[in-house]
Amino acid sequence: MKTAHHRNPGDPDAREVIERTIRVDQAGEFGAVRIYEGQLAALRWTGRSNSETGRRIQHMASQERNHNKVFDRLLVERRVRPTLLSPLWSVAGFALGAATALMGDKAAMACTVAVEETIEEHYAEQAAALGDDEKDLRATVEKFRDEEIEHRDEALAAGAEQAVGYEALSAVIKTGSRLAIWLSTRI
Amino acid sequence: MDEQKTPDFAGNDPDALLRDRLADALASEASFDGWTRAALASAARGLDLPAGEGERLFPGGPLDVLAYLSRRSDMRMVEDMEKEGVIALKIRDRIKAAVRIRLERHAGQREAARRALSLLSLPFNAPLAMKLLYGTVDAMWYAAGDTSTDFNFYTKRATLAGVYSSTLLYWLNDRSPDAEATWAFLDRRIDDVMRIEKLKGQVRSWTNPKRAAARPAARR
Repeated sequence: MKTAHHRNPGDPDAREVIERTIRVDQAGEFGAVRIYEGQLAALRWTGRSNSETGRRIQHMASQERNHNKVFDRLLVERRVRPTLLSPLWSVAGFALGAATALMGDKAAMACTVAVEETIEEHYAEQAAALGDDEKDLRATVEKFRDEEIEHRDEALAAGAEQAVGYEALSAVIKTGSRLAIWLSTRI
Repeated sequence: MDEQKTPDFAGNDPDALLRDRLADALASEASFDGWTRAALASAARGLDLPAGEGERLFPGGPLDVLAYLSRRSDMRMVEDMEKEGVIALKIRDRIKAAVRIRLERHAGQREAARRALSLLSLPFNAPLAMKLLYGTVDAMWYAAGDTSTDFNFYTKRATLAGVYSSTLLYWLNDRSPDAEATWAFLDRRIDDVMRIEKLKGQVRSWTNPKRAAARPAARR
């Protein structure tokens, strides 16, 4: 089956599907990198860089940087314009990361769970929308999705759900992430 | 609608050849008659096309032809730049080469280009004009090997849009041999941009402590 095979009038065509996919994924991975950078900065400010949480975040951050690099490359290769909102994601991501890490190790992990869960759902939708003509892109999305799930599980194992006000925090971050995805797909 | 007008080099469009010929025919008519429906019909007649064929190939009329030609020229410019290894030059020379190739080889006859520009400068054609200008500068940066994936992507294109469109206007009225005056004008515009970039870099190094530390003068 090809990309945009079951397309209705008014739906994005195959090229548009690819553009949106790569644009929003590049923005998302960039945002994720900024969140982890914000968390690492907050850990430095509070002298927790070498804590277990610090090492855990460092590992996740390096994987996200790798994802970001892949989508940077795809963006250029496939001639997709980046999102106009990257300055906003840079600030918002960093602020979110710093704020949650300042709230405590558990809150930082709760942030990871919320973000990674949203991204994971989003990647699953994308993988389903991409056809056999875009096998490589689909494989990339699926591979990254698995890694995002690992991050989520790792954060859950680290006690994310014990964060104070976990439900509320998670709901706010998820809504924000979904809004960011919606906007970056289009703008 | 865009699918129809975009030149197709992949060979999926059975009418590609015909569309090319008709567009070229109108481009040579347009020097005298402008980009009008009458000129399009007369170009189609000149090619012995059956009645209505011009409208079928370009449903939007002359504007469709303009968009088609502009995109085709962008593609040809990119091909030329790749063939000539422009990528090996310094960035500013890549951009200079891009503007020069686009104007010298792929802008068509000056009179036709002038008339195209006056049609595109009508307010209700502004969206198309912007789209075509964006397409051109985007192709230039693409062929120049731009790899920016952040907001720089847009500042680069906006800056080049200013440089390219002013150079295009200058070129339209340039009567110097081989358009030498235009290339000198282009050089000056790029110098202006570089001056601003340099200034921006200096301001950044003064305001950013990390960069200031990297400056030798700041290391006491």
